[in-house]
Amino acid sequence: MDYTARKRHTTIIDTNGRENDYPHDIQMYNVPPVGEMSLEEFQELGFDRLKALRLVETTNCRSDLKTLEDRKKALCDSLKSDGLKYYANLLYADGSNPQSEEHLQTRKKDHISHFILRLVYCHDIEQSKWFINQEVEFFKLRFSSLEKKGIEYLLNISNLDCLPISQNEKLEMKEELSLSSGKVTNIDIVDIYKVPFEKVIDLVRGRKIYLKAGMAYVTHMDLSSVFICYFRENLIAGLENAKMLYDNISDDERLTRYLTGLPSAFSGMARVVWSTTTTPIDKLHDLSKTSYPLCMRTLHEALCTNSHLRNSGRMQYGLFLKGIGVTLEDALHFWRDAFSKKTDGSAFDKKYAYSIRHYYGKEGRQTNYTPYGCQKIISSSVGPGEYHGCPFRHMDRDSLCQKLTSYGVFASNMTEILDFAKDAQYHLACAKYFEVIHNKPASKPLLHPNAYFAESRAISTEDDSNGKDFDNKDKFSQNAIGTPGGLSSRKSDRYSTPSRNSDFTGTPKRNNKFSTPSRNIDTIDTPLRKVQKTNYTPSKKTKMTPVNIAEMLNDDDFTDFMDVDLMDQKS
Amino acid sequence: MGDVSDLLDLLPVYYSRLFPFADYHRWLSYGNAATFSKREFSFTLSDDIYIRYQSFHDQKGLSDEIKRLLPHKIDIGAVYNAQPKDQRRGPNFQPVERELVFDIDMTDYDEVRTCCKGADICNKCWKFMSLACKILDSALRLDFGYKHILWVFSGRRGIHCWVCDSAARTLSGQVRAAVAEYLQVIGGGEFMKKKVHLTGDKIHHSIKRALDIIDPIFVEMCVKEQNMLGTEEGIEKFLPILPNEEDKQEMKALFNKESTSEARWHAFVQYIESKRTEGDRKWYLYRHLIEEVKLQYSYPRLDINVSKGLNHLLKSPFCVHPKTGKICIPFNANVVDKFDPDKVPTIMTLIEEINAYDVRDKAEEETYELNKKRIKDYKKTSLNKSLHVFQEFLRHLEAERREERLKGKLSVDSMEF
Repeated sequence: MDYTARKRHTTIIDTNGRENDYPHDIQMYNVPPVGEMSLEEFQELGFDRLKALRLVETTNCRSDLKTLEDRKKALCDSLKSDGLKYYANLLYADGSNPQSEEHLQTRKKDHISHFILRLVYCHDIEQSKWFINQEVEFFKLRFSSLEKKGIEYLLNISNLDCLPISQNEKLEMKEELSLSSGKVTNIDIVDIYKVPFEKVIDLVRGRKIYLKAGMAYVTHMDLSSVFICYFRENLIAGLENAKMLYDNISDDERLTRYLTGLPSAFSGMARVVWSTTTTPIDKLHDLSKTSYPLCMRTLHEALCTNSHLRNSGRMQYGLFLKGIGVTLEDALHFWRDAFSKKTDGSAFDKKYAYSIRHYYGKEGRQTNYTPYGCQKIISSSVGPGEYHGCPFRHMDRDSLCQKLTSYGVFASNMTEILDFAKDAQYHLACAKYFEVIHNKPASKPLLHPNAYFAESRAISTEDDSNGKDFDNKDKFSQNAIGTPGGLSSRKSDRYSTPSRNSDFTGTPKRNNKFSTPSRNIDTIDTPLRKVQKTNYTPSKKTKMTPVNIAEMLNDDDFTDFMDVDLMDQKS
Repeated sequence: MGDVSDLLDLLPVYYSRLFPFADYHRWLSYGNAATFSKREFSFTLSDDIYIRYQSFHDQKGLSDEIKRLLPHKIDIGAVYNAQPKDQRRGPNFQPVERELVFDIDMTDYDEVRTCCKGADICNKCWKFMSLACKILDSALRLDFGYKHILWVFSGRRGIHCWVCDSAARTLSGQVRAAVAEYLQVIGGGEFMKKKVHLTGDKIHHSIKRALDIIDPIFVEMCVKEQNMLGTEEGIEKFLPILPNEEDKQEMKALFNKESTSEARWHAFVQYIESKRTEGDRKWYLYRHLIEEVKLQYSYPRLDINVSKGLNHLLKSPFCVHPKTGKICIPFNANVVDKFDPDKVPTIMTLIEEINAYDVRDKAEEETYELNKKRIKDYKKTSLNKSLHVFQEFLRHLEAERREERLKGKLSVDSMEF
C-alpha cells in the first residue's frame, strides 16, 4: 500500500509466490502493488497504459465497428501497431492462465500500470469518469476472451456474491427463467447463478433477467455483467482510496510532476468543445438554422413553439449554449424571453433561473457542468412531452423524415440519413446532415454537438472570408458583423430586449471576435489550459475544462437541480 | 377551492391538532434518532418562499418549527452524512440514505386520456392511477422483494410511492436508476409515436404480469371509457403506431367501416392476429403489437428522474395541497380501486369535522356529565382511516426491526437512542 517505495532505483524481484499474486489473466485490482522499481519503468508503464486506454476510447467511438468482436480486433491491431503487443496479448488472454515468466511479467505490468493511472486520475471527477469508462470498456473486451473454465476460475477466486443454483431450484422457476433470460433458447442446458440484483444493474435496466424477491438469476452467458458491475464499483471505491494514498507521494516532485502531466501526454486525441468566443443571444435563432446540430435545432424549435422545455431538454440545450459561448447573463435573458409567453418574469425567476445559474456552476454544489456529448445524448432516456435526445436515435422514421423535409433535405440524401439512423449509425447520420446543410462534409468526425457547432462556424467564416458561396450561411455572417435590418434583426427582437442590444453594440470587440474562426477545436489540454484561460472574455469566470466526449458517459451526477424541476412540475 | 388566505387561517389548527407528528417522527427515525436528525426537510411558505436544508433533532424541534412557519408544503429529502442545517455546503456533505420513491403524475397521461387534461382528474382517468399502483406494487414486491411500501395520494392528480425497506433506502443512485428503468416500459419523446418496444420472442415476466393486470379492464377502461378509437383525433394518434404505410392505410379503411371505438379495437386485434398467422414476411413486426399498444395506452408512466437521485425532494405525506386543500393521505394499495380522489379529506372539511365534534362533545358533556376522556383529534375526523393505513405500515416496519435485532443483524450503531 506504500507507493513511496518506488522512488528507489532498484528493481524488485520477489520470485516466490508470484503465481499467487497473479493467478489469473484478468485482475480485479483489489490490492495495490508493493515493491521497488525504477522511475523510468514507472513512467513507461504509465505512458503505455494511457496510450492503450486512449486506443480503447477511439475504437469505441468508431461507429463502423458493430460487434464487440470487431472492436476487439480493431483495438488489437492498433495496440500492435503502437508497439503495445503485451496489451494485445492481455486483450486476447483466454483465462487458461499460463504461468510462464513472460505472462507473469505482462500481468505484473498490467497490475502496476493500472495503479499508476489510479493515482493520475483520482482527483478530478471528470477525468476519473473518463478513466473508469475506458478501464471498464477494456475489461469488457478482455472478459469476452475468456473461456468457460477461465470464467469459473475467476468466479472462484473473486469472492463475488454469486452462487450457482440447484437443479431443483431451477426446475421450480423454469418457465419464468426462460421467459425473462433474454436470448436463451433452451434453459435446460444453461447454468444459472443467483446474485443480488444490485450486482447486475445493466441486466436489470434492460429487463434481460429474471428477478425474484430481489435476487437476479443470471445465465452463465450473462456472467460478464456480474463482473463488469463489480469491476466498476471496485474501481470507483479504489479511486477514492487512491486520493488518500496520493498523499504518501505528494512530497516527491519527480512523481507528482509526472502524474499531473500524464493526461496531457496525448493531447492530440482530446476533443475540446468549448467555444472561445462569446455568442450573442440575438443570433441564436439564425444560428439554430445554420450551425446547430439537429438535436439542438429541434430543441430550439420546440422551445420557440411551446415557450417551455422540460428539465432534461433545458439541460441538454442550456449546456450546449454555455459551450458555444453564451454568457450566464445572456442565458438568463434568453430563457426568460423564450418562456415569457407562458411564464411571467417573476415565476421564471422562482422556478427556472436557479437551474440556469446551476448550469454555470453558480448554485448548489457549484459544479462546473460541461455540455453533453453525443454518447450521453444518445443514451439519455426521453419520455412523453420531451424533445431532447438524439433525433437520429429518438425520432421514429416518420417524424425524422418530416423534420428533415421541412429543413429542405432532398429525397436522395434523406434515405441515406434515415438508413444510417435505422442502423444505429447516429454519427454517420449526423455527419450526412452536416454535409447536406453545409454543402461539404465536416473535416473530422463530430462526436459532440459543440464540435459540430465549432466545425460549422469554421466553415461559415471560411466561406465568408473567401467571399464565395452566397447562400444563407453567408447571410448569417454578414448579419453577425452588425448589418441592421434583414431577417436576423427582426428575429433578434424576439430574443433580446432593446437594452441588451445596445449593450451588445457597446462591446464591439465581442462582435468582431464572433466572426473570427473559433480557436479551440482540437488540442488544448491540462498544462496549456492555464495559458489559454487568459484569452477568455472576462465575463466567463468559470473554469473552462476541455473535455473528452467519453468522459460524459454514465454521469448521473446532475440530480442536484432536478430538485428544482420537482417544483416546476408540481404545483 | 380554498385560496391562500383561507389556508393561512386553517393551517395553524391543522398543524397543532391534526398533523400526526408522533407517527411521522416514528417513521422517519427508522428506530434511530441520528437518522432523523440528518434528514433534510424543506418548506414552501406563503409567497412561494422556499427554504431547503432544514433539519431537526427530534419531533419537538420539527413540530415547533412547522407550527411557527406554517409551511404550505413540506418536502422530504435525503438523510445526509451530517445534519443538513449546520453542515451544508461542506466539502463532503452528501446524501447517504433515502427511500426509493416513485412519482406518477396524471399529466404524463395526457396523450392517452381523453376525459380530462392537465391538472384535472375524474373517476375515469383515476383508473390509470389505480392500474399504475397495482402494477408497480406487485413488481416492487415480487421482483425486488420489497415489503414496506407506502402509497400516498399526491394532493391533486397523482400518486407517490415510498419504498422504505432498509435495503431500498441505501441503494446507490445508479442502482435506483436501473430499478426505475426496469419499471419504465414506455419510452420515447414527442417524436416517437410507438412508445413500447418488446424485443425478442418472449415477453419478460414482469411485463407479462402487468399485462395480466391490464387485460381484464383494458377494453372497458381504454377502448370504451377513454374512447381511444372513437374519434378522428383518436385514430390519428393511433395509426402512426403501426409499423408501415400499407398497414396504416388498411387499418384506416377498416376503421372507417366501424363506428364505435370498441368495434374498431376488435377490427385492429383481428387484423394483427391475421398478420401474425398468415406468415407475413415481416411477421416479427406484429408478434407483440397488440400487447405493445395495450402497454402504451395503460402502463404506468413514471417520472423516473424523481426516482434516480438520492437527493431529490418529494412532497411529504399528510401535507396539504395548497391549491386543492386536499391532504396527501396514505392509502392501501390493495383497495386502490375504491380510492376516490374526490372524497379525499380537505383541510376545510377536517376542521369543520373537528369543530362539529367539539360542539357535540361539549353538549354531551353538559347533558350526561361524562368523565372526560381525551380522544385524539384525528380520530374525530375522516383522516382517521388514512392514519390507520400509516400506522399499520409503521407496525410492519417496527416488527421487522425487532426481528432483525433479535437475530442480531442490526449493528449496535443503529440501536443507539
